[in-house]
Amino acid sequence: MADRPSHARSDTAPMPSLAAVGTSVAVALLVTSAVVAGIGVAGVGAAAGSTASTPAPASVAQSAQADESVCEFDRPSWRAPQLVAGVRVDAERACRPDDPNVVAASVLGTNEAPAAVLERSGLARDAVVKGEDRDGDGDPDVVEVTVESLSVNGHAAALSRDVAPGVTPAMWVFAPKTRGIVVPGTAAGDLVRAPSPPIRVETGDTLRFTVENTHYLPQSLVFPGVDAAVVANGSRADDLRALDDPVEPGEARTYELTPEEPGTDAYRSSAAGPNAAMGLAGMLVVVPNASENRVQTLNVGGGKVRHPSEALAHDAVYDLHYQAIDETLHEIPRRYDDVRAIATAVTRTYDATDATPDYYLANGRAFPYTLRESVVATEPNASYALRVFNAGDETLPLHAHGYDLAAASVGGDEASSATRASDPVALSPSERVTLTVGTPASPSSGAGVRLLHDPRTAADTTDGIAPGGSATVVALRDALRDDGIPDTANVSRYFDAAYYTGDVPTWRHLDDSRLASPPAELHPNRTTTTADSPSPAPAPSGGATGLPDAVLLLAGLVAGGALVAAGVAIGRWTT
Amino acid sequence: MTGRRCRRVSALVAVAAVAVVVAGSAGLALAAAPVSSAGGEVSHHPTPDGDAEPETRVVENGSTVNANGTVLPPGCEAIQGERHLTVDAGREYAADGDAFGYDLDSVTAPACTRLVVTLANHDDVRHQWVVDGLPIETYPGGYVAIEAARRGSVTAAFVTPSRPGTYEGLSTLPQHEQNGMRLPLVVTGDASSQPTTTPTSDAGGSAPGPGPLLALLALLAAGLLAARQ
Repeated sequence: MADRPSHARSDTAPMPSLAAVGTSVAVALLVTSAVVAGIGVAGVGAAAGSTASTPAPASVAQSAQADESVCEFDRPSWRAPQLVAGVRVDAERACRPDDPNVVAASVLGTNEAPAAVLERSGLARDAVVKGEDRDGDGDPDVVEVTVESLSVNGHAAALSRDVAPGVTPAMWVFAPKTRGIVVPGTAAGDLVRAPSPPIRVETGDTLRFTVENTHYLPQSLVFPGVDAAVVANGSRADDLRALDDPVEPGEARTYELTPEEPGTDAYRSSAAGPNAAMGLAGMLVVVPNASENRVQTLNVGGGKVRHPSEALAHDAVYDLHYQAIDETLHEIPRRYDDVRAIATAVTRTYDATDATPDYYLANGRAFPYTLRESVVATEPNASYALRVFNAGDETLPLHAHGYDLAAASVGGDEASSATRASDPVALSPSERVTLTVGTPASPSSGAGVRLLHDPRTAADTTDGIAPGGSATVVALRDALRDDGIPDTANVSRYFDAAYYTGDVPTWRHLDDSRLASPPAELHPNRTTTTADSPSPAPAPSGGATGLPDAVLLLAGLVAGGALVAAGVAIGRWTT
Repeated sequence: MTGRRCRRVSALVAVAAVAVVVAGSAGLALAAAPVSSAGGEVSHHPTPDGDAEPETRVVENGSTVNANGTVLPPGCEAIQGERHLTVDAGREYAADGDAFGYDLDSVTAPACTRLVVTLANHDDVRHQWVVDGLPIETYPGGYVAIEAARRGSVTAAFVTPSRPGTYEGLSTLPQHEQNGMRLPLVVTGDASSQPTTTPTSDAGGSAPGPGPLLALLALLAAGLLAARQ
């Protein structure tokens, strides 16, 4: 709580301290003063430029790289298979696995989970309430799920969620209802993130889905793909009526539905405005009814279903939620703390017909952060199901290098056709599909780490800088480090905000002298090369201070000149 | 040594002296910065792995964190009294341009006083009142939280700190503070012998800037030059 105003995340670029800035300015003054006094004003520019062009020491360059380790995670025990309150939680190899306590509470129901598990999970007691077993098959058939509509990365946000290093677009999400303070480092804070969580029920289950609108704008819900009637607060849901009667801030509404067909459906906000584009949409997975089948109702985070009720035909199941974000829209809530200003800007100033995506996300993250959460870790001779939701407004082509994808019919559950490895599977906007990935019996015949991505050029970037976008990987287990990061290449250079602000040339790590930027462009004062180390980490422009070098130089020149003038004046006055 | 040469040397000396001053003041700033940050009273974090473990209690219709009506905060020799207060929260209390709000602008109470607060939630979503910046010796993480999970009330007590000042009060739900849910706690009076300061987030002082020292040393350099002449 105490650090709420600053909320410094260890994986964000550090801000320069006042003292460091002051020191840099002072050094510039000293150098400039000496130069001016010694060689005259004419020589200052060249001399200062020469000084500033001195290559940064290796330690400085490495400290920029160390801004963020590839896998920072202090609960490695979460990766192991475990039994939590009697609930089997499968292993998850990813660097940042989902919280086993959340998995267990989602399986048992927050109304039945032990108090300690619920406390550790951060979920509210009414987040997932599991009730009556109507068909007597040993599992609940009435499930009540409560979510809160919230804003992430908003104006002066305490809760900051980077989708890529240094990239924090504002997003709106339906988050599981949590309890207690919602700040970074708390269990509740960890549950407020993109995407809106996948929700699982069995066929024939009655889902009572309650939206508590803690957001500042009105919301409403529709359920694309659901074959059943939807009742909202006791009345049959009507999409047009919802426009006039949305769920206003401070209100709650319960939607009741009983899906009968298995498949991957969806829920999304249908309120007027760009609510769904802002992130208010999620997967609703309907699995076939089975005996003694307590499903993992919420799957918050990286995608792997750690308690797979549907694992009968597959070795593991992953939920993959794809988003495409227009920076122009997602910047608006960051600018204002006045609800009226935000409402006007997102519905009037912003023109959705001009939308062009800048960020492509898989499960709320862009590469390289997808490598921390959404790696599909495989074993030889195994089968994996990928439930994919295209929440963006463009067609999503998706393919995996080196693997055959078997695609089911829209929203369906059974694979019906095999797709050649080189052919992307295309999902229309709002479309859901289930893909299966099979691995060869012999590890040697399969690839180590292969991309699972949208091959469009823009979608492989983060605001135009590659590699980025929604790419993640399918990786053989042996190709992953103990912390879940692929070990076949050094990707640490991409875990640096400077890379995605364009301050680090793409191929500089290969040959700085030939492939880095020319001196006059990105680094006007850096005219020599330093990078001979295997994994160099260029210092961002401005070096340790973060101030542009040109500003430092100019300040040094001005201050030096002033000092000389003062000295001369004093000397003249005293003589 | 000619007069012209003398003036040139004097100028160089002045420049050197001022430059040394600049370097010295920068060094002071550098040395003072850690003191400034370490001097902030509140630096703990309510994480499960933190130094202190906030105490959460699930109660009817919500929860409380660090509710404490008996333990004295540092500097309090005794509980000076008890005050009861109801804080209404909800959309109906939002100011223009806000989404939510409280019915009060601030809560004022004397130091070392037991404050029994009822948070009355008038909405169908949860609301909180979290008071931050409290002594971590008594309130792990430095805060007290009252949360009404739905429409209805939750009551909790805590003892106000000994040091008068304004303590931040808010809802931690994302964007709730920015959209109207700010309710500071103002502690008044002197209920102890402890020195009183206002524990605002920027308390702790800051490093001296180079300006005054620069001017001082420039004067000194001028004085030296004059004496030399």
